Amino acid sequence: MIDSYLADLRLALRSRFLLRRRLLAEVEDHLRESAEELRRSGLAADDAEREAVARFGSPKAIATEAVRAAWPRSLVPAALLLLGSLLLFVFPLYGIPENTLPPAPWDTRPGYLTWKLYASLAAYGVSLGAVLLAAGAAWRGWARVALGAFATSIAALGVSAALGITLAVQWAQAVPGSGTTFALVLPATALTLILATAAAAMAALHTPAR
Amino acid sequence: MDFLLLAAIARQPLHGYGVVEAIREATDGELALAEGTVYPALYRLERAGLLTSSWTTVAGRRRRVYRLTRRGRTRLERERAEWSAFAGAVHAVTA
Repeated sequence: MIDSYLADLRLALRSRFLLRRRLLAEVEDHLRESAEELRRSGLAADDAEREAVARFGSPKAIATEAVRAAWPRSLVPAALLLLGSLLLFVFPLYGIPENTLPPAPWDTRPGYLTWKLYASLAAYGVSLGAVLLAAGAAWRGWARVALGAFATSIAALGVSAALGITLAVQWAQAVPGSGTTFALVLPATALTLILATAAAAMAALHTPAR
Repeated sequence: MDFLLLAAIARQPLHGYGVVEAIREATDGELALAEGTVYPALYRLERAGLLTSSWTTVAGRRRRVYRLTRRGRTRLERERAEWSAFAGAVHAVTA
């Protein structure tokens, strides 16, 4: 009976892996101790387990309440994953300056590359600041700030990546011999975006339904 | 419910089942909490910084034990004063 209850609770918390681990351990300890007490008071083993489970309440309702109570701190791991993907993105951004590439055939960088470089860096800065704000706000329990900052960070990273990829392709076309460096930039950017998507999915899974 | 949980844990550090039992015993069974609802309430109080918790192992099972923080104790004193004032006012009218 208790095992079956725990299986139902595990299913109700299937996407909340951090909360699931803690809540399942606490609930199992509670139900087994409760059943032991009921057995000592004279109930048969099966009846004691049935009564302990009945007193505890519906696993779905408990899971829903626990998810609400753990929110928004459960957003912190998603914010840290997004932060990790942003730090990875530093590599393609630093790959762009001229000193890491073959000599460019110009004295002054063309405007169509310059604005993309600075816009990409600015969007990156916004994304980095927003994810730090999201992690801090989630930890303090400021749900709306945390969600807003998280969404801002994802959007800014998308803008930065789009500009960065365009810049990389145009730079490779304009500067002979820079293709090898950019062959590393593109997979790193793709990995960044995959990790950022995973972070967004994690955040969505941990956000309680309204 | 938050007030009851804080008051029970103020007496001694307790795990979830211990909280339920402490309240049941202190009230001679008059207040029997819906047991599963205790955990979301404990998580909320911990998130608010009123409780802190840590794992221990008892009889081979992991057990989360909750303690009151300084902030939790301050909140409990405030809630006690408010409850006393409220109960006194109701008593003055109904006695």
